[in-house]
Amino acid sequence: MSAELAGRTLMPLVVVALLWPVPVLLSRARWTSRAPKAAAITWVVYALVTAYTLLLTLAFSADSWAIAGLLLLWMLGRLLQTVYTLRGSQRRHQDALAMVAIYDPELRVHVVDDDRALAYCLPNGAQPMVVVTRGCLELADDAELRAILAHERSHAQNRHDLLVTGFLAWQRIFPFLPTSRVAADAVCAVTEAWADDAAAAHVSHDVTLRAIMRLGSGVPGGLDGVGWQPDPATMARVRRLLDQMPERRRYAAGL
Amino acid sequence: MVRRDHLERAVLESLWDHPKGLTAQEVVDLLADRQLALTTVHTVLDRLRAKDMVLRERDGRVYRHRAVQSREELTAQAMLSVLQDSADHRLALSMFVRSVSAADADALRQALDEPQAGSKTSRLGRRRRP
Repeated sequence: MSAELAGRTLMPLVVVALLWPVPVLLSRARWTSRAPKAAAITWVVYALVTAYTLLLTLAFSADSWAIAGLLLLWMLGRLLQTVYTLRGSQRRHQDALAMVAIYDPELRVHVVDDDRALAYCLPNGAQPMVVVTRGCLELADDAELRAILAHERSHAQNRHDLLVTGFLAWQRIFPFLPTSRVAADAVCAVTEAWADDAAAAHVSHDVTLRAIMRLGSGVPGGLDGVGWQPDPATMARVRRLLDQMPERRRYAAGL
Repeated sequence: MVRRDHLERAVLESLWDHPKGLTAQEVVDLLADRQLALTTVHTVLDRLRAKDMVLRERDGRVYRHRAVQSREELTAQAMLSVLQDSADHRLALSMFVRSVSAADADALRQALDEPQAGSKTSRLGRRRRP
């Protein structure tokens, strides 16, 4: 009897905690930026536990299997819808790339003849594609390009698209819950940190930083007096890489 | 064995070279070194039409096929969808730097304000399809 009472009062509190303060605290936690892989796993566990607890609470504490069933259907439906619509637009983009991009076997990337400097990883089933523009190849020097490609290959090899897609769906499952967006943004930041670590390990921290500033500002040559206003997410990446740099090398890079 | 994409690309490229349009037989003749069967070219053209890359018009007793967008337009549109993705996540890309430079953002804003795809690229200083 007392267990039932506890269940009825405690479970809703747990659900509220999972839906509100927990993701906010997790997104602000310092350790996540030092350990992006652990952070990614934590976010996945968080989402699974939250969905499970929410469904159980509805079923048992609120005594309504119907509502729990409807919510489960809604969750699965939104997930499928997200995967389906993303896959559709990704296919269309791929169709266009298949007509205009040229595969560079040496760099192992698809090159698009466009002035704008862009580099990205396009989700493509089990084999995400790394794409760069001619503008990017012209703008970045060899070392910067190695950092850019190492970053994008890390996205492709570690299947970051699954994480990003999953949390885009999460955001669409709870469209009126601001913390679902917090979670999705945090997961994006985690994948970027993960890929930045791969780039820094492959080349170095300062070259990775230079590559971010290069593509962000679109300015070739030296980076003195570059007027560039990065968005908050990019600024966080820059700060994170700076924090990880040993002092001496930070000054050597002139940053 | 020729990959499907390569064949579609070869056919589309010959349509890009002939803006006035080609019949399936003309495509077969242009790609003579590949020794394609007429039915193969018909299939490829149908696939390109399904992708909204090619349209056909009746010209007497035959169909003439034209590319819907020039190579430049198709490229520009693909890159615009990449730039736009930082706003709407329709492609769920992982871009190296999401913050777009001022010039790109300008071009994007102008292009997205335009209702027609045809005028999109001309504002970006790209050649229009003749």
